[in-house]
Amino acid sequence: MKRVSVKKNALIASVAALPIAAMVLSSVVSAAYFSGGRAAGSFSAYYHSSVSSNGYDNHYETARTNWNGISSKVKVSKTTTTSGDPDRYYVGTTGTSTLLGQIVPYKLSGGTYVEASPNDKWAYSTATIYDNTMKSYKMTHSQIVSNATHEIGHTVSLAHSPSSSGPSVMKQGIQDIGPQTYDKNELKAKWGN
Amino acid sequence: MRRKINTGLFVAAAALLLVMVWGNISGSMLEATSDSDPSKTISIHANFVNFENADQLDSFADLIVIGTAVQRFEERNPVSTHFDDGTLQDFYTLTDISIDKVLKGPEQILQEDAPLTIIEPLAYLDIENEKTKLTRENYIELYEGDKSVIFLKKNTFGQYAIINQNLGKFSLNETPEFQVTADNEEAAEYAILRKDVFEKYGLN
Repeated sequence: MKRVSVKKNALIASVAALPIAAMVLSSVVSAAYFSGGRAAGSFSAYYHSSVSSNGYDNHYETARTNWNGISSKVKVSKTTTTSGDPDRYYVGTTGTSTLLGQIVPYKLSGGTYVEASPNDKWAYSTATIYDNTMKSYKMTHSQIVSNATHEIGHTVSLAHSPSSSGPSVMKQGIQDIGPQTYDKNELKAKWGN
Repeated sequence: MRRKINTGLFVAAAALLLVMVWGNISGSMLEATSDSDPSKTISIHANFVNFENADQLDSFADLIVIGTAVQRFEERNPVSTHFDDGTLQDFYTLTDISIDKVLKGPEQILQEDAPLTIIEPLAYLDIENEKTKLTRENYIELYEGDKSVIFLKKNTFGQYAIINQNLGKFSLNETPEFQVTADNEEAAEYAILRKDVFEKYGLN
């Protein structure tokens, strides 16, 4: 009788502890990166003709290499071919007056690449920075590089950083910084050292 | 007695766990809802110029109005543009709003009979043969009939576009639907900025 009572009490205590464990666990895994993204942190990027025709080769080049050498699991190389699902970089025009850049992830569905959510598993993503809005704010070279670095940060699955993070290239807005300590830590948290 | 207490604890713990699991599942979807059909929604990440208080919004905006969207979202005009390789370049919706008051900007807008057409940073697109709402940073469209303070800036084509996304439009309803349906953090930010905006323009 006593043994049965002890087992039952242990079961009740275990179940009661589950919500508490779930709360602790959810706070530990909560971070500024997506659950989705590419299967691996090393991949190639293709520069669409809009990058050079608008004069942004240098900006994207610096932005892309800004993310290399932080984690041994993350390297974004450059490719001159679109085969093999590289990411694609663009320079475009937008009708949204305060939009500086965006990324659109794509997944394979029924043999076709379709727009995906940041929390899906992607095949590749496109990063676009907007020439008309950047010029309207008279953004400097370093600010444009920072904008492109921000967008490429999303392509390696980094989300926007919280206001409590301190300096971070993954905050929204016009900045002129590269990956900061916070960003590098988040990148390593996502992909490994 | 002890058996009743233990059973009660077990049930309470199980219920709490169920609520938390359900909360995490629903939290992984777009939390704030809209008044449009329940089609699929994808929210992508974008970098916007953002503003933190009413003074910044006022300073930056070209036009600030009290206005109301006159159509359901399904009836508005979606726009998308593409690069030469077919890749999506931009997307937005042209939304007609009737103007009740101009708080900043050209007063003659109030005299015009036709609604003002503004840009919202989301649009319906055909994705996987399904009408899908593609939005940025979880932006929710202006609700039809919901009179709101709206902050606008002209784009490089001379069209007015909403600024500051969900924190650039503030319903005059006593209990704004956005505040009820948005996630806790966004609802809290909205409430603070809405109070600041209403105080600035004497709308309390």
